Amino acid sequence: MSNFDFLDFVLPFEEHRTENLGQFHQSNITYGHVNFSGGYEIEKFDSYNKKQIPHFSIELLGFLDRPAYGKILDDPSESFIPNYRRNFSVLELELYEVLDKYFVESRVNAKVIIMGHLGYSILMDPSQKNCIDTHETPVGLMFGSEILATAFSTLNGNFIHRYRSLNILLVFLNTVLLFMIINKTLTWRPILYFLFIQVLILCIWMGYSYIAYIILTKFSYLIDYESLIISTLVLGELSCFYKLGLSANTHTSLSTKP
Amino acid sequence: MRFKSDQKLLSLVAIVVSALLFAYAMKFEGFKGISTLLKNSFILDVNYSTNNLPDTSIVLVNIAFQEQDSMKRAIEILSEYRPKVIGIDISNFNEMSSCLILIS
Repeated sequence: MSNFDFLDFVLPFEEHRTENLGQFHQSNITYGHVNFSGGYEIEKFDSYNKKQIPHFSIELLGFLDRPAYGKILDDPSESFIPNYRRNFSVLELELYEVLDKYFVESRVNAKVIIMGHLGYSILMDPSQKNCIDTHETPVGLMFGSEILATAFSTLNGNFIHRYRSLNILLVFLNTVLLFMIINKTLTWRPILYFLFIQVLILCIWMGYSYIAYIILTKFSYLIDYESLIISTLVLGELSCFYKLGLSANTHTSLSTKP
Repeated sequence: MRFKSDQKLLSLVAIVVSALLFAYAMKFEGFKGISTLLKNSFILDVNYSTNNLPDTSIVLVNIAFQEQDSMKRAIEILSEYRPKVIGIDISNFNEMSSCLILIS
Protein backbone atom coordinates (compact mmCIF):
# COMPACT_ATOMS: atom_id res chain seq x y z
CA MET A 1 0.00 0.00 0.00
CA SER A 2 3.00 2.26 -0.24
CA ASN A 3 1.74 3.69 -3.48
CA PHE A 4 -1.04 5.56 -1.68
CA ASP A 5 -0.69 9.27 -1.48
CA PHE A 6 -2.90 11.35 0.79
CA LEU A 7 -3.55 15.02 1.21
CA ASP A 8 -3.46 16.51 4.67
CA PHE A 9 -6.92 17.72 5.43
CA VAL A 10 -8.63 15.99 8.32
CA LEU A 11 -11.70 17.03 10.18
CA PRO A 12 -11.59 16.29 13.92
CA PHE A 13 -15.08 14.84 14.11
CA GLU A 14 -14.23 12.22 11.52
CA GLU A 15 -11.43 10.53 13.40
CA HIS A 16 -13.63 8.08 15.29
CA ARG A 17 -15.22 6.98 12.04
CA THR A 18 -12.01 6.17 10.24
CA GLU A 19 -9.90 4.69 13.04
CA ASN A 20 -10.97 1.14 12.12
CA LEU A 21 -9.47 1.61 8.70
CA GLY A 22 -6.11 0.90 10.30
CA GLN A 23 -3.20 1.91 8.16
CA PHE A 24 -5.34 4.33 6.16
CA HIS A 25 -6.01 6.26 9.30
CA GLN A 26 -2.30 6.59 9.93
CA SER A 27 -1.97 8.61 6.78
CA ASN A 28 -3.38 11.98 6.02
CA ILE A 29 -6.86 11.86 4.57
CA THR A 30 -8.73 14.25 2.35
CA TYR A 31 -12.34 15.05 3.10
CA GLY A 32 -15.02 16.64 1.01
CA HIS A 33 -18.56 17.50 1.96
CA VAL A 34 -21.38 15.41 0.49
CA ASN A 35 -24.32 17.53 1.57
CA PHE A 36 -27.17 17.49 -0.89
CA SER A 37 -30.39 19.35 -0.40
CA GLY A 38 -31.91 18.10 -3.63
CA GLY A 39 -32.81 20.01 -6.73
CA TYR A 40 -30.76 21.30 -9.57
CA GLU A 41 -27.60 22.64 -7.98
CA ILE A 42 -24.79 21.36 -5.77
CA GLU A 43 -23.01 23.73 -3.40
CA LYS A 44 -19.29 23.86 -4.13
CA PHE A 45 -18.37 24.49 -0.50
CA ASP A 46 -19.73 23.80 2.94
CA SER A 47 -18.38 25.31 6.13
CA TYR A 48 -17.28 23.51 9.24
CA ASN A 49 -15.50 25.27 12.11
CA LYS A 50 -15.10 28.35 9.89
CA LYS A 51 -13.34 26.22 7.26
CA GLN A 52 -14.61 26.05 3.74
CA ILE A 53 -14.75 22.40 2.71
CA PRO A 54 -14.99 21.65 -1.02
CA HIS A 55 -17.48 19.14 -2.33
CA PHE A 56 -16.47 15.47 -2.53
CA SER A 57 -16.51 15.55 -6.34
CA ILE A 58 -14.23 18.59 -6.42
CA GLU A 59 -11.71 16.93 -4.10
CA LEU A 60 -11.89 13.79 -6.22
CA LEU A 61 -11.16 15.82 -9.33
CA GLY A 62 -8.21 17.39 -7.51
CA PHE A 63 -6.43 14.03 -7.59
CA LEU A 64 -6.88 13.62 -11.33
CA ASP A 65 -6.77 17.04 -12.89
CA ARG A 66 -5.08 19.82 -10.93
CA PRO A 67 -5.64 22.61 -13.53
CA ALA A 68 -9.38 21.79 -13.72
CA TYR A 69 -9.50 21.64 -9.91
CA GLY A 70 -7.91 25.07 -9.62
CA LYS A 71 -10.24 26.46 -12.24
CA ILE A 72 -13.32 25.26 -10.36
CA LEU A 73 -12.06 26.64 -7.06
CA ASP A 74 -11.28 30.00 -8.67
CA ASP A 75 -14.69 30.23 -10.29
CA PRO A 76 -16.80 32.79 -8.39
CA SER A 77 -20.07 30.85 -8.63
CA GLU A 78 -21.11 29.11 -5.40
CA SER A 79 -22.70 26.07 -7.00
CA PHE A 80 -22.77 23.98 -10.14
CA ILE A 81 -25.46 22.08 -12.02
CA PRO A 82 -25.05 18.30 -11.88
CA ASN A 83 -25.44 16.72 -15.29
CA TYR A 84 -27.64 13.82 -14.24
CA ARG A 85 -27.71 10.60 -16.18
CA ARG A 86 -29.91 7.66 -15.41
CA ASN A 87 -27.71 4.60 -15.84
CA PHE A 88 -24.93 4.82 -13.30
CA SER A 89 -25.88 1.48 -11.78
CA VAL A 90 -24.72 -0.28 -14.96
CA LEU A 91 -21.18 -0.10 -13.62
CA GLU A 92 -21.78 -1.34 -10.13
CA LEU A 93 -19.90 -3.89 -8.05
CA GLU A 94 -21.09 -5.47 -4.84
CA LEU A 95 -18.62 -5.65 -1.97
CA TYR A 96 -18.64 -9.47 -1.97
CA GLU A 97 -17.63 -9.40 -5.65
CA VAL A 98 -14.63 -7.29 -4.73
CA LEU A 99 -13.70 -9.42 -1.71
CA ASP A 100 -13.93 -12.62 -3.82
CA LYS A 101 -12.15 -10.88 -6.71
CA TYR A 102 -15.11 -11.79 -8.83
CA PHE A 103 -14.66 -9.12 -11.49
CA VAL A 104 -12.65 -8.51 -14.63
CA GLU A 105 -9.53 -6.41 -14.12
CA SER A 106 -10.46 -4.01 -16.93
CA ARG A 107 -13.56 -3.00 -14.99
CA VAL A 108 -11.42 -1.43 -12.28
CA ASN A 109 -8.06 -0.65 -13.84
CA ALA A 110 -7.53 3.09 -14.46
CA LYS A 111 -11.10 3.84 -13.38
CA VAL A 112 -12.51 6.18 -10.77
CA ILE A 113 -13.99 4.11 -7.96
CA ILE A 114 -16.63 5.45 -5.62
CA MET A 115 -17.54 3.25 -2.68
CA GLY A 116 -20.77 3.93 -0.87
CA HIS A 117 -24.21 2.69 0.08
CA LEU A 118 -26.21 1.60 -2.98
CA GLY A 119 -28.98 -0.38 -1.37
CA TYR A 120 -28.95 -3.58 0.60
CA SER A 121 -26.54 -6.40 -0.22
CA ILE A 122 -27.77 -9.99 -0.56
CA LEU A 123 -26.97 -10.59 3.10
CA MET A 124 -29.05 -7.75 4.40
CA ASP A 125 -32.73 -7.18 4.99
CA PRO A 126 -34.43 -6.44 1.63
CA SER A 127 -36.94 -4.15 3.31
CA GLN A 128 -34.15 -1.64 3.86
CA LYS A 129 -33.69 -1.03 0.16
CA ASN A 130 -34.15 2.52 -1.03
CA CYS A 131 -34.78 3.97 2.40
CA ILE A 132 -31.31 5.05 3.53
CA ASP A 133 -29.20 7.74 1.92
CA THR A 134 -31.63 8.24 -0.94
CA HIS A 135 -32.45 11.67 -2.29
CA GLU A 136 -34.97 13.12 -4.67
CA THR A 137 -33.38 14.32 -7.91
CA PRO A 138 -34.73 15.44 -11.29
CA VAL A 139 -34.33 11.85 -12.55
CA GLY A 140 -35.97 10.26 -9.52
CA LEU A 141 -34.65 8.83 -6.27
CA MET A 142 -30.88 8.34 -6.25
CA PHE A 143 -28.46 7.06 -3.67
CA GLY A 144 -26.01 9.59 -2.25
CA SER A 145 -23.10 7.80 -3.89
CA GLU A 146 -24.79 7.95 -7.28
CA ILE A 147 -25.25 11.70 -6.85
CA LEU A 148 -21.56 12.02 -5.95
CA ALA A 149 -20.68 10.03 -9.08
CA THR A 150 -22.94 12.31 -11.11
CA ALA A 151 -21.30 15.40 -9.64
CA PHE A 152 -17.82 14.06 -10.38
CA SER A 153 -18.81 13.07 -13.92
CA THR A 154 -20.14 16.60 -14.43
CA LEU A 155 -16.89 18.19 -13.34
CA ASN A 156 -14.84 15.68 -15.30
CA GLY A 157 -15.87 16.67 -18.82
CA ASN A 158 -19.65 17.04 -18.70
CA PHE A 159 -19.86 20.50 -17.18
CA ILE A 160 -22.92 22.66 -17.80
CA HIS A 161 -21.79 26.25 -18.35
CA ARG A 162 -23.82 29.22 -17.34
CA TYR A 163 -22.97 32.87 -18.03
CA ARG A 164 -25.21 35.27 -16.22
CA SER A 165 -23.80 38.31 -18.08
CA LEU A 166 -24.80 36.65 -21.38
CA ASN A 167 -28.35 36.34 -20.07
CA ILE A 168 -28.57 40.09 -19.49
CA LEU A 169 -27.50 40.65 -23.10
CA LEU A 170 -30.06 38.13 -24.36
CA VAL A 171 -32.86 39.78 -22.38
CA PHE A 172 -31.82 43.16 -23.82
CA LEU A 173 -31.77 41.81 -27.40
CA ASN A 174 -35.12 40.13 -26.82
CA THR A 175 -36.59 43.42 -25.57
CA VAL A 176 -35.25 45.32 -28.61
CA LEU A 177 -36.72 42.69 -30.96
CA LEU A 178 -40.09 42.87 -29.23
CA PHE A 179 -40.12 46.66 -29.36
CA MET A 180 -39.49 46.53 -33.11
CA ILE A 181 -42.37 44.07 -33.63
CA ILE A 182 -44.71 46.06 -31.35
CA ASN A 183 -43.83 49.29 -33.13
CA LYS A 184 -44.80 47.77 -36.48
CA THR A 185 -48.08 46.27 -35.26
CA LEU A 186 -49.35 48.87 -32.80
CA THR A 187 -51.57 50.47 -35.45
CA TRP A 188 -53.57 47.25 -35.90
CA ARG A 189 -57.11 46.90 -34.59
CA PRO A 190 -57.09 46.26 -30.80
CA ILE A 191 -58.60 42.76 -30.87
CA LEU A 192 -56.27 41.70 -33.72
CA TYR A 193 -53.30 43.21 -31.93
CA PHE A 194 -54.20 41.48 -28.67
CA LEU A 195 -54.50 38.07 -30.37
CA PHE A 196 -51.27 38.63 -32.30
CA ILE A 197 -49.34 39.42 -29.12
CA GLN A 198 -50.66 36.31 -27.36
CA VAL A 199 -49.66 34.12 -30.31
CA LEU A 200 -46.30 35.88 -30.50
CA ILE A 201 -45.64 35.22 -26.78
CA LEU A 202 -46.54 31.56 -27.28
CA CYS A 203 -44.28 31.27 -30.36
CA ILE A 204 -41.40 33.02 -28.58
CA TRP A 205 -41.87 30.75 -25.56
CA MET A 206 -41.75 27.60 -27.69
CA GLY A 207 -38.96 28.95 -29.88
CA TYR A 208 -36.74 29.87 -26.93
CA SER A 209 -37.43 26.51 -25.29
CA TYR A 210 -36.27 24.70 -28.40
CA ILE A 211 -33.21 26.92 -28.92
CA ALA A 212 -32.26 26.63 -25.23
CA TYR A 213 -32.59 22.84 -25.43
CA ILE A 214 -30.41 22.62 -28.56
CA ILE A 215 -27.74 24.90 -27.05
CA LEU A 216 -27.76 22.87 -23.82
CA THR A 217 -27.49 19.47 -25.50
CA LYS A 218 -25.01 20.45 -28.23
CA PHE A 219 -22.83 22.99 -26.45
CA SER A 220 -23.56 22.39 -22.75
CA TYR A 221 -24.54 26.03 -22.18
CA LEU A 222 -27.59 26.83 -20.09
CA ILE A 223 -29.45 29.93 -21.23
CA ASP A 224 -31.46 31.66 -18.55
CA TYR A 225 -34.70 30.71 -20.22
CA GLU A 226 -36.76 31.88 -17.24
CA SER A 227 -35.80 35.55 -17.46
CA LEU A 228 -36.29 35.60 -21.23
CA ILE A 229 -39.82 34.22 -20.98
CA ILE A 230 -40.80 36.50 -18.10
CA SER A 231 -39.43 39.58 -19.89
CA THR A 232 -41.37 38.60 -23.04
CA LEU A 233 -44.57 38.04 -21.05
CA VAL A 234 -44.30 41.32 -19.18
CA LEU A 235 -43.44 43.39 -22.26
CA GLY A 236 -46.10 41.73 -24.42
CA GLU A 237 -48.87 42.17 -21.89
CA LEU A 238 -47.77 45.73 -21.11
CA SER A 239 -48.06 46.59 -24.79
CA CYS A 240 -51.60 45.14 -24.76
CA PHE A 241 -52.55 47.43 -21.88
CA TYR A 242 -50.95 50.33 -23.71
CA LYS A 243 -52.96 49.50 -26.82
CA LEU A 244 -56.10 49.22 -24.72
CA GLY A 245 -55.49 52.65 -23.24
CA LEU A 246 -54.64 54.04 -26.67
CA SER A 247 -57.85 52.78 -28.26
CA ALA A 248 -59.93 53.96 -25.30
CA ASN A 249 -58.38 57.39 -25.63
CA THR A 250 -59.11 57.48 -29.38
CA HIS A 251 -62.64 56.35 -28.77
CA THR A 252 -63.15 59.04 -26.11
CA SER A 253 -61.69 61.70 -28.39
CA LEU A 254 -63.96 60.67 -31.26
CA SER A 255 -67.06 60.46 -29.11
CA THR A 256 -66.51 63.92 -27.63
CA LYS A 257 -66.16 65.52 -31.06
CA PRO A 258 -69.06 67.82 -31.93
CA MET B 1 -52.19 61.34 -28.62
CA ARG B 2 -52.23 61.50 -24.83
CA PHE B 3 -53.72 59.35 -22.12
CA LYS B 4 -55.96 60.79 -19.52
CA SER B 5 -54.63 60.43 -16.00
CA ASP B 6 -57.46 58.10 -14.95
CA GLN B 7 -56.68 55.80 -17.91
CA LYS B 8 -53.01 55.74 -16.94
CA LEU B 9 -53.95 54.89 -13.39
CA LEU B 10 -56.37 52.20 -14.55
CA SER B 11 -53.71 50.61 -16.79
CA LEU B 12 -51.18 50.66 -13.97
CA VAL B 13 -53.63 49.08 -11.53
CA ALA B 14 -54.55 46.43 -14.14
CA ILE B 15 -50.87 45.57 -14.69
CA VAL B 16 -50.14 45.29 -10.98
CA VAL B 17 -53.28 43.22 -10.31
CA SER B 18 -52.49 40.93 -13.27
CA ALA B 19 -48.92 40.43 -12.06
CA LEU B 20 -50.12 39.62 -8.53
CA LEU B 21 -52.79 37.24 -9.83
CA PHE B 22 -50.23 35.54 -12.07
CA ALA B 23 -47.76 35.14 -9.20
CA TYR B 24 -50.51 33.85 -6.89
CA ALA B 25 -51.89 31.43 -9.49
CA MET B 26 -48.47 29.85 -9.98
CA LYS B 27 -48.61 28.62 -6.38
CA PHE B 28 -51.62 26.38 -7.02
CA GLU B 29 -51.11 22.70 -7.78
CA GLY B 30 -53.04 22.99 -11.02
CA PHE B 31 -50.61 25.58 -12.36
CA LYS B 32 -47.46 23.65 -11.42
CA GLY B 33 -47.07 22.57 -15.03
CA ILE B 34 -47.02 26.18 -16.25
CA SER B 35 -44.66 27.35 -13.52
CA THR B 36 -42.33 24.44 -14.34
CA LEU B 37 -42.44 25.35 -18.02
CA LEU B 38 -41.34 28.87 -17.10
CA LYS B 39 -38.26 27.68 -15.24
CA ASN B 40 -34.82 26.64 -16.40
CA SER B 41 -35.41 23.29 -14.74
CA PHE B 42 -37.78 22.40 -17.58
CA ILE B 43 -34.94 22.48 -20.11
CA LEU B 44 -32.65 20.61 -17.72
CA ASP B 45 -35.30 17.92 -17.17
CA VAL B 46 -35.66 17.41 -20.91
CA ASN B 47 -31.88 17.16 -21.18
CA TYR B 48 -31.64 14.64 -18.33
CA SER B 49 -34.39 12.48 -19.80
CA THR B 50 -32.34 12.02 -22.98
CA ASN B 51 -29.03 11.56 -21.17
CA ASN B 52 -28.99 7.79 -20.87
CA LEU B 53 -25.42 6.74 -21.62
CA PRO B 54 -23.46 5.75 -18.52
CA ASP B 55 -20.12 7.30 -17.67
CA THR B 56 -17.83 4.31 -18.16
CA SER B 57 -14.92 5.93 -16.36
CA ILE B 58 -16.67 5.57 -13.00
CA VAL B 59 -17.26 2.34 -11.09
CA LEU B 60 -19.60 2.27 -8.10
CA VAL B 61 -18.94 -0.23 -5.35
CA ASN B 62 -21.77 -1.01 -2.98
CA ILE B 63 -20.44 -1.21 0.57
CA ALA B 64 -23.98 -1.30 1.97
CA PHE B 65 -23.80 -1.93 5.74
CA GLN B 66 -20.63 -3.99 5.74
CA GLU B 67 -18.17 -3.60 8.57
CA GLN B 68 -15.17 -1.40 8.10
CA ASP B 69 -12.80 -4.39 8.17
CA SER B 70 -14.44 -5.66 4.99
CA MET B 71 -14.20 -2.20 3.54
CA LYS B 72 -10.51 -2.04 4.35
CA ARG B 73 -9.92 -5.39 2.63
CA ALA B 74 -11.89 -4.21 -0.38
CA ILE B 75 -9.78 -1.07 -0.64
CA GLU B 76 -6.62 -3.16 -0.53
CA ILE B 77 -7.90 -5.50 -3.25
CA LEU B 78 -9.11 -2.67 -5.46
CA SER B 79 -5.84 -0.78 -5.10
CA GLU B 80 -3.99 -3.81 -6.52
CA TYR B 81 -5.77 -3.18 -9.81
CA ARG B 82 -4.44 0.38 -9.89
CA PRO B 83 -7.56 2.52 -10.23
CA LYS B 84 -7.04 6.22 -10.80
CA VAL B 85 -8.63 7.15 -7.51
CA ILE B 86 -10.86 5.63 -4.84
CA GLY B 87 -13.49 7.76 -3.14
CA ILE B 88 -15.37 6.49 -0.13
CA ASP B 89 -18.73 7.82 0.93
CA ILE B 90 -19.25 6.68 4.49
CA SER B 91 -21.93 9.19 5.28
CA ASN B 92 -24.53 6.42 5.52
CA PHE B 93 -23.11 5.15 8.80
CA ASN B 94 -24.59 8.04 10.72
CA GLU B 95 -26.10 11.43 10.16
CA MET B 96 -22.85 13.29 9.64
CA SER B 97 -21.97 14.14 6.09
CA SER B 98 -18.48 13.30 5.10
CA CYS B 99 -16.28 11.06 3.09
CA LEU B 100 -12.65 10.25 2.64
CA ILE B 101 -10.72 10.04 -0.56
CA LEU B 102 -7.75 7.87 -1.30
CA ILE B 103 -5.53 7.89 -4.33
CA SER B 104 -3.45 5.19 -5.88
